[in-house]
Amino acid sequence: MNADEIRQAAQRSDFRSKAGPLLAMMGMAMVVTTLVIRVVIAVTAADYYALDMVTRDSALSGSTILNDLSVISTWPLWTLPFGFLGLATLMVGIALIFSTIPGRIQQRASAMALTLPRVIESRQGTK
Amino acid sequence: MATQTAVQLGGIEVSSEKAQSMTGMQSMASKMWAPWLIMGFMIVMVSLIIGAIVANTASDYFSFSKEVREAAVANSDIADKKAFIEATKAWLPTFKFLGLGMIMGGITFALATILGNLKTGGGRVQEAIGKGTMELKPPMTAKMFPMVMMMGMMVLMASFVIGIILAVISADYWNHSIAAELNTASAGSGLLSDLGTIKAIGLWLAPLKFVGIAMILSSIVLALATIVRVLRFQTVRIVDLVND
Repeated sequence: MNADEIRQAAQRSDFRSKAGPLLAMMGMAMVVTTLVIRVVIAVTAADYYALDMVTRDSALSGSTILNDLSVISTWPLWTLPFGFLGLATLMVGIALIFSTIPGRIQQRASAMALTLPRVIESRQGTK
Repeated sequence: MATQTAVQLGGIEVSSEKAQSMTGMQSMASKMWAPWLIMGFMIVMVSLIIGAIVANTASDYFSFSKEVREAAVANSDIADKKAFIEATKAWLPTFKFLGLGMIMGGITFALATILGNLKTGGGRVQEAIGKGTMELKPPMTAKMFPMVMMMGMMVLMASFVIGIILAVISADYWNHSIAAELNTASAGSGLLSDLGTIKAIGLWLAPLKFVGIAMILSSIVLALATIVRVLRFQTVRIVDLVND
Protein backbone atom coordinates (compact mmCIF):
# COMPACT_ATOMS: atom_id res chain seq x y z
CA MET A 1 0.00 0.00 0.00
CA ASN A 2 1.28 3.47 -0.78
CA ALA A 3 0.63 6.62 1.25
CA ASP A 4 -2.45 7.67 -0.73
CA GLU A 5 -4.05 4.24 -0.48
CA ILE A 6 -3.50 4.16 3.27
CA ARG A 7 -4.92 7.68 3.63
CA GLN A 8 -7.98 6.80 1.56
CA ALA A 9 -8.54 3.54 3.48
CA ALA A 10 -8.33 5.44 6.79
CA GLN A 11 -10.93 7.95 5.66
CA ARG A 12 -13.37 5.32 4.37
CA SER A 13 -16.20 4.21 6.69
CA ASP A 14 -17.29 0.63 6.14
CA PHE A 15 -20.75 -0.89 6.64
CA ARG A 16 -20.07 -2.01 10.21
CA SER A 17 -19.03 1.41 11.49
CA LYS A 18 -22.27 2.85 10.06
CA ALA A 19 -24.55 -0.01 11.16
CA GLY A 20 -23.16 -0.19 14.71
CA PRO A 21 -24.36 3.24 15.93
CA LEU A 22 -27.64 2.75 14.03
CA LEU A 23 -28.31 -0.54 15.85
CA ALA A 24 -27.37 1.12 19.15
CA MET A 25 -29.94 3.87 18.53
CA MET A 26 -32.56 1.28 17.55
CA GLY A 27 -31.87 -0.68 20.73
CA MET A 28 -32.18 2.44 22.88
CA ALA A 29 -35.49 3.30 21.17
CA MET A 30 -36.82 -0.21 21.86
CA VAL A 31 -35.90 0.01 25.55
CA VAL A 32 -37.55 3.43 25.91
CA THR A 33 -40.67 2.12 24.09
CA THR A 34 -40.83 -0.74 26.62
CA LEU A 35 -40.75 1.78 29.47
CA VAL A 36 -43.54 3.87 27.90
CA ILE A 37 -45.76 0.79 27.37
CA ARG A 38 -45.12 -0.34 30.95
CA VAL A 39 -46.13 3.09 32.31
CA VAL A 40 -49.43 2.79 30.37
CA ILE A 41 -50.03 -0.72 31.79
CA ALA A 42 -49.14 0.57 35.28
CA VAL A 43 -52.03 3.06 35.08
CA THR A 44 -54.40 0.19 34.15
CA ALA A 45 -52.99 -1.93 37.02
CA ALA A 46 -53.52 0.88 39.54
CA ASP A 47 -57.17 1.17 38.40
CA TYR A 48 -57.70 -2.60 38.54
CA TYR A 49 -56.22 -3.14 42.00
CA ALA A 50 -58.14 -0.17 43.43
CA LEU A 51 -61.24 -2.40 43.22
CA ASP A 52 -61.98 -4.77 46.09
CA MET A 53 -61.25 -8.47 45.65
CA VAL A 54 -64.93 -9.52 45.46
CA THR A 55 -65.56 -7.08 42.60
CA ARG A 56 -62.43 -8.21 40.77
CA ASP A 57 -63.22 -11.92 41.18
CA SER A 58 -66.88 -11.60 40.21
CA ALA A 59 -66.27 -9.61 37.01
CA LEU A 60 -68.31 -10.91 34.08
CA SER A 61 -66.92 -11.97 30.75
CA GLY A 62 -66.52 -8.96 28.44
CA SER A 63 -66.44 -6.46 31.32
CA THR A 64 -63.89 -3.64 31.56
CA ILE A 65 -62.45 -5.24 34.70
CA LEU A 66 -61.61 -8.48 32.87
CA ASN A 67 -60.28 -6.49 29.95
CA ASP A 68 -57.96 -4.62 32.36
CA LEU A 69 -56.89 -7.93 33.92
CA SER A 70 -56.10 -9.25 30.45
CA VAL A 71 -53.91 -6.22 29.68
CA ILE A 72 -52.11 -6.44 33.05
CA SER A 73 -51.49 -10.17 32.64
CA THR A 74 -50.56 -10.40 28.96
CA TRP A 75 -48.70 -7.24 28.00
CA PRO A 76 -45.86 -7.71 30.51
CA LEU A 77 -45.26 -11.14 28.97
CA TRP A 78 -43.97 -9.62 25.74
CA THR A 79 -42.83 -6.16 26.80
CA LEU A 80 -39.93 -7.37 28.94
CA PRO A 81 -38.58 -9.69 26.19
CA PHE A 82 -38.95 -6.71 23.84
CA GLY A 83 -36.79 -4.66 26.22
CA PHE A 84 -34.24 -7.48 26.29
CA LEU A 85 -34.27 -7.47 22.49
CA GLY A 86 -33.49 -3.75 22.67
CA LEU A 87 -30.50 -4.40 24.96
CA ALA A 88 -29.38 -7.24 22.65
CA THR A 89 -29.62 -4.91 19.62
CA LEU A 90 -27.47 -2.36 21.46
CA MET A 91 -24.90 -5.05 22.25
CA VAL A 92 -24.82 -6.18 18.59
CA GLY A 93 -24.12 -2.52 17.74
CA ILE A 94 -21.21 -2.54 20.22
CA ALA A 95 -19.88 -5.78 18.70
CA LEU A 96 -20.02 -4.29 15.18
CA ILE A 97 -18.07 -1.20 16.22
CA PHE A 98 -15.57 -3.38 18.09
CA SER A 99 -15.11 -5.48 14.95
CA THR A 100 -13.90 -2.42 13.01
CA ILE A 101 -11.05 -1.72 15.48
CA PRO A 102 -8.66 -4.52 14.34
CA GLY A 103 -8.88 -3.19 10.77
CA ARG A 104 -8.10 0.34 11.96
CA ILE A 105 -5.11 -0.94 13.96
CA GLN A 106 -3.89 -2.77 10.85
CA GLN A 107 -4.20 0.44 8.81
CA ARG A 108 -2.13 2.25 11.41
CA ALA A 109 0.43 -0.56 11.32
CA SER A 110 0.58 -0.26 7.50
CA ALA A 111 1.15 3.48 7.86
CA MET A 112 3.98 2.85 10.35
CA ALA A 113 5.51 0.16 8.12
CA LEU A 114 5.52 2.63 5.25
CA THR A 115 6.84 5.61 7.16
CA LEU A 116 9.22 4.29 9.82
CA PRO A 117 11.90 3.08 7.35
CA ARG A 118 11.85 6.55 5.75
CA VAL A 119 12.17 8.22 9.17
CA ILE A 120 15.11 5.97 10.05
CA GLU A 121 16.75 6.59 6.66
CA SER A 122 16.41 10.35 7.02
CA ARG A 123 17.83 10.20 10.57
CA GLN A 124 20.82 8.16 9.37
CA GLY A 125 21.29 10.60 6.49
CA THR A 126 21.53 13.57 8.84
CA LYS A 127 24.12 11.88 11.11
CA MET B 1 -5.61 22.72 27.39
CA ALA B 2 -6.17 25.56 24.96
CA THR B 3 -6.64 24.77 21.30
CA GLN B 4 -4.29 26.84 19.19
CA THR B 5 -5.52 26.19 15.66
CA ALA B 6 -7.98 23.87 13.99
CA VAL B 7 -7.01 22.48 10.60
CA GLN B 8 -8.25 19.73 8.30
CA LEU B 9 -5.97 16.72 8.08
CA GLY B 10 -7.22 14.15 5.60
CA GLY B 11 -10.82 15.21 6.21
CA ILE B 12 -10.43 14.97 9.99
CA GLU B 13 -10.50 18.14 12.08
CA VAL B 14 -7.44 18.42 14.26
CA SER B 15 -5.90 20.94 16.60
CA SER B 16 -2.21 21.65 16.92
CA GLU B 17 -1.38 21.56 20.59
CA LYS B 18 0.75 19.71 23.07
CA ALA B 19 -0.78 16.25 23.34
CA GLN B 20 1.39 14.52 25.91
CA SER B 21 -1.02 14.61 28.84
CA MET B 22 -4.39 13.00 29.44
CA THR B 23 -7.46 15.16 30.00
CA GLY B 24 -8.83 15.43 33.55
CA MET B 25 -11.62 12.98 32.76
CA GLN B 26 -9.18 10.47 31.24
CA SER B 27 -6.81 10.55 34.21
CA MET B 28 -9.79 10.18 36.58
CA ALA B 29 -11.07 7.24 34.49
CA SER B 30 -7.65 5.55 34.63
CA LYS B 31 -7.91 5.51 38.44
CA MET B 32 -11.61 4.66 38.66
CA TRP B 33 -12.16 1.75 36.27
CA ALA B 34 -10.81 -0.95 38.60
CA PRO B 35 -12.68 0.17 41.78
CA TRP B 36 -15.92 0.38 39.77
CA LEU B 37 -15.47 -3.14 38.39
CA ILE B 38 -14.69 -4.51 41.87
CA MET B 39 -17.59 -2.68 43.56
CA GLY B 40 -20.01 -3.77 40.83
CA PHE B 41 -18.93 -7.38 41.10
CA MET B 42 -19.23 -7.25 44.91
CA ILE B 43 -22.78 -5.88 44.64
CA VAL B 44 -23.76 -8.75 42.34
CA MET B 45 -22.15 -11.25 44.76
CA VAL B 46 -23.97 -9.72 47.76
CA SER B 47 -27.22 -9.94 45.75
CA LEU B 48 -26.61 -13.67 45.29
CA ILE B 49 -26.12 -14.13 49.06
CA ILE B 50 -29.29 -12.11 49.84
CA GLY B 51 -31.13 -14.19 47.21
CA ALA B 52 -30.04 -17.37 49.01
CA ILE B 53 -31.27 -15.97 52.35
CA VAL B 54 -34.67 -15.10 50.80
CA ALA B 55 -34.88 -18.55 49.22
CA ASN B 56 -34.35 -20.08 52.67
CA THR B 57 -37.08 -17.85 54.16
CA ALA B 58 -39.43 -18.72 51.27
CA SER B 59 -38.76 -22.41 51.86
CA ASP B 60 -39.78 -21.97 55.54
CA TYR B 61 -42.84 -19.90 54.57
CA PHE B 62 -44.16 -22.44 52.06
CA SER B 63 -43.70 -25.30 54.52
CA PHE B 64 -46.92 -24.07 56.19
CA SER B 65 -50.31 -25.00 54.70
CA LYS B 66 -52.20 -22.39 52.67
CA GLU B 67 -54.82 -21.97 55.43
CA VAL B 68 -52.15 -21.32 58.05
CA ARG B 69 -50.26 -18.87 55.79
CA GLU B 70 -53.37 -16.87 54.92
CA ALA B 71 -54.71 -16.85 58.48
CA ALA B 72 -51.42 -15.57 59.96
CA VAL B 73 -52.04 -12.26 61.74
CA ALA B 74 -49.97 -9.08 61.32
CA ASN B 75 -46.51 -9.15 62.95
CA SER B 76 -46.65 -12.93 63.39
CA ASP B 77 -43.62 -14.94 62.32
CA ILE B 78 -45.35 -16.17 59.15
CA ALA B 79 -46.56 -12.67 58.16
CA ASP B 80 -43.08 -11.29 58.82
CA LYS B 81 -41.60 -13.94 56.53
CA LYS B 82 -44.06 -13.05 53.75
CA ALA B 83 -43.30 -9.33 54.23
CA PHE B 84 -39.54 -10.01 54.06
CA ILE B 85 -39.89 -12.10 50.88
CA GLU B 86 -42.06 -9.52 49.10
CA ALA B 87 -39.95 -6.55 50.23
CA THR B 88 -36.75 -8.21 49.01
CA LYS B 89 -38.40 -8.99 45.66
CA ALA B 90 -38.99 -5.24 45.32
CA TRP B 91 -35.47 -3.92 45.96
CA LEU B 92 -33.04 -6.76 45.18
CA PRO B 93 -33.36 -6.62 41.34
CA THR B 94 -32.64 -2.88 41.38
CA PHE B 95 -29.54 -3.54 43.51
CA LYS B 96 -28.31 -6.21 41.06
CA PHE B 97 -28.77 -3.85 38.14
CA LEU B 98 -26.84 -1.16 40.03
CA GLY B 99 -23.97 -3.67 40.32
CA LEU B 100 -24.16 -4.53 36.60
CA GLY B 101 -24.26 -0.82 35.80
CA MET B 102 -21.10 -0.23 37.83
CA ILE B 103 -19.32 -3.05 35.97
CA MET B 104 -20.34 -1.51 32.63
CA GLY B 105 -19.36 1.92 33.94
CA GLY B 106 -15.94 0.41 34.74
CA ILE B 107 -15.72 -0.75 31.12
CA THR B 108 -16.56 2.78 29.93
CA PHE B 109 -13.82 4.17 32.20
CA ALA B 110 -11.38 1.59 30.78
CA LEU B 111 -12.25 2.77 27.26
CA ALA B 112 -11.65 6.37 28.36
CA THR B 113 -8.25 5.23 29.66
CA ILE B 114 -7.47 3.69 26.25
CA LEU B 115 -8.37 7.02 24.63
CA GLY B 116 -6.08 8.85 27.05
CA ASN B 117 -3.20 6.51 26.23
CA LEU B 118 -3.81 6.87 22.48
CA LYS B 119 -3.65 10.65 22.96
CA THR B 120 -0.45 10.68 25.02
CA GLY B 121 1.22 7.94 22.94
CA GLY B 122 0.40 9.73 19.68
CA GLY B 123 1.76 12.97 21.12
CA ARG B 124 5.02 11.31 22.19
CA VAL B 125 5.55 9.72 18.75
CA GLN B 126 4.96 13.05 16.97
CA GLU B 127 7.31 14.83 19.35
CA ALA B 128 10.01 12.20 18.77
CA ILE B 129 9.74 12.67 14.99
CA GLY B 130 10.02 16.40 15.55
CA LYS B 131 7.57 17.75 12.98
CA GLY B 132 5.08 19.35 15.36
CA THR B 133 2.44 17.79 17.57
CA MET B 134 -1.18 17.58 16.44
CA GLU B 135 -4.14 15.87 17.99
CA LEU B 136 -7.71 15.19 16.96
CA LYS B 137 -10.10 17.92 18.05
CA PRO B 138 -12.41 16.10 20.53
CA PRO B 139 -15.41 14.92 18.48
CA MET B 140 -18.98 15.12 19.81
CA THR B 141 -18.87 11.41 20.76
CA ALA B 142 -15.89 12.08 23.07
CA LYS B 143 -17.73 14.90 24.82
CA MET B 144 -20.97 12.92 25.16
CA PHE B 145 -19.93 9.49 26.39
CA PRO B 146 -18.98 10.42 30.00
CA MET B 147 -22.23 12.37 30.38
CA VAL B 148 -24.37 9.53 28.96
CA MET B 149 -22.62 7.05 31.28
CA MET B 150 -23.25 9.21 34.36
CA MET B 151 -26.88 9.70 33.33
CA GLY B 152 -27.27 5.93 33.06
CA MET B 153 -25.76 5.49 36.54
CA MET B 154 -28.14 8.13 37.92
CA VAL B 155 -31.13 6.27 36.41
CA LEU B 156 -29.92 3.04 38.07
CA MET B 157 -29.42 4.79 41.42
CA ALA B 158 -32.91 6.32 41.15
CA SER B 159 -34.28 2.82 40.39
CA PHE B 160 -32.55 1.51 43.51
CA VAL B 161 -34.03 4.26 45.69
CA ILE B 162 -37.51 3.65 44.20
CA GLY B 163 -36.96 -0.09 44.82
CA ILE B 164 -36.28 0.60 48.52
CA ILE B 165 -39.39 2.80 48.81
CA LEU B 166 -41.42 0.06 47.09
CA ALA B 167 -39.93 -2.51 49.50
CA VAL B 168 -41.12 -0.46 52.49
CA ILE B 169 -44.65 -0.20 51.04
CA SER B 170 -44.58 -3.90 50.14
CA ALA B 171 -43.43 -4.97 53.62
CA ASP B 172 -46.16 -2.83 55.18
CA TYR B 173 -48.83 -4.29 52.87
CA TRP B 174 -47.90 -7.96 53.28
CA ASN B 175 -47.53 -7.75 57.07
CA HIS B 176 -51.30 -8.26 57.38
CA SER B 177 -53.52 -11.31 57.58
CA ILE B 178 -54.20 -12.34 53.98
CA ALA B 179 -57.55 -13.96 54.74
CA ALA B 180 -58.90 -11.47 57.30
CA GLU B 181 -57.49 -8.15 56.07
CA LEU B 182 -55.95 -8.20 52.58
CA ASN B 183 -58.64 -10.27 50.81
CA THR B 184 -61.46 -8.32 52.48
CA ALA B 185 -60.05 -4.82 51.93
CA SER B 186 -62.73 -2.50 50.54
CA ALA B 187 -62.39 -0.20 47.55
CA GLY B 188 -60.72 3.07 48.51
CA SER B 189 -58.95 1.56 51.53
CA GLY B 190 -55.30 2.19 52.29
CA LEU B 191 -54.47 -1.48 51.74
CA LEU B 192 -55.88 -1.51 48.19
CA SER B 193 -54.15 1.78 47.50
CA ASP B 194 -50.84 0.16 48.59
CA LEU B 195 -51.57 -2.89 46.41
CA GLY B 196 -52.22 -0.65 43.40
CA THR B 197 -48.96 1.24 44.07
CA ILE B 198 -46.95 -2.00 44.42
CA LYS B 199 -48.34 -3.45 41.17
CA ALA B 200 -48.06 -0.20 39.19
CA ILE B 201 -44.51 0.71 40.25
CA GLY B 202 -43.39 -2.90 39.77
CA LEU B 203 -44.56 -2.70 36.15
CA TRP B 204 -42.48 0.34 35.17
CA LEU B 205 -39.52 -0.14 37.48
CA ALA B 206 -38.24 -3.15 35.50
CA PRO B 207 -37.93 -1.29 32.16
CA LEU B 208 -36.55 1.79 33.96
CA LYS B 209 -33.54 -0.33 34.97
CA PHE B 210 -33.22 -1.37 31.32
CA VAL B 211 -33.13 2.29 30.31
CA GLY B 212 -30.23 2.85 32.76
CA ILE B 213 -28.29 -0.13 31.39
CA ALA B 214 -29.08 0.93 27.79
CA MET B 215 -27.66 4.40 28.51
CA ILE B 216 -24.41 2.94 29.85
CA LEU B 217 -24.19 0.63 26.81
CA SER B 218 -24.76 3.68 24.60
CA SER B 219 -21.84 5.40 26.33
CA ILE B 220 -19.70 2.37 25.41
CA VAL B 221 -20.84 2.76 21.77
CA LEU B 222 -19.83 6.44 21.84
CA ALA B 223 -16.45 5.67 23.43
CA LEU B 224 -15.73 2.98 20.82
CA ALA B 225 -16.74 5.34 18.01
CA THR B 226 -14.24 7.87 19.44
CA ILE B 227 -11.47 5.25 19.56
CA VAL B 228 -12.12 4.35 15.89
CA ARG B 229 -11.96 8.04 14.99
CA VAL B 230 -8.67 8.51 16.86
CA LEU B 231 -7.14 5.47 15.13
CA ARG B 232 -8.20 6.87 11.74
CA PHE B 233 -6.63 10.23 12.61
CA GLN B 234 -3.39 8.63 13.78
CA THR B 235 -3.09 6.60 10.56
CA VAL B 236 -3.49 9.72 8.42
CA ARG B 237 -1.13 11.68 10.67
CA ILE B 238 1.63 9.05 10.48
CA VAL B 239 1.48 9.10 6.67
CA ASP B 240 1.46 12.90 6.57
CA LEU B 241 4.38 13.22 8.99
CA VAL B 242 6.71 11.62 6.47
CA ASN B 243 5.19 13.23 3.39
CA ASP B 244 5.50 16.73 4.94
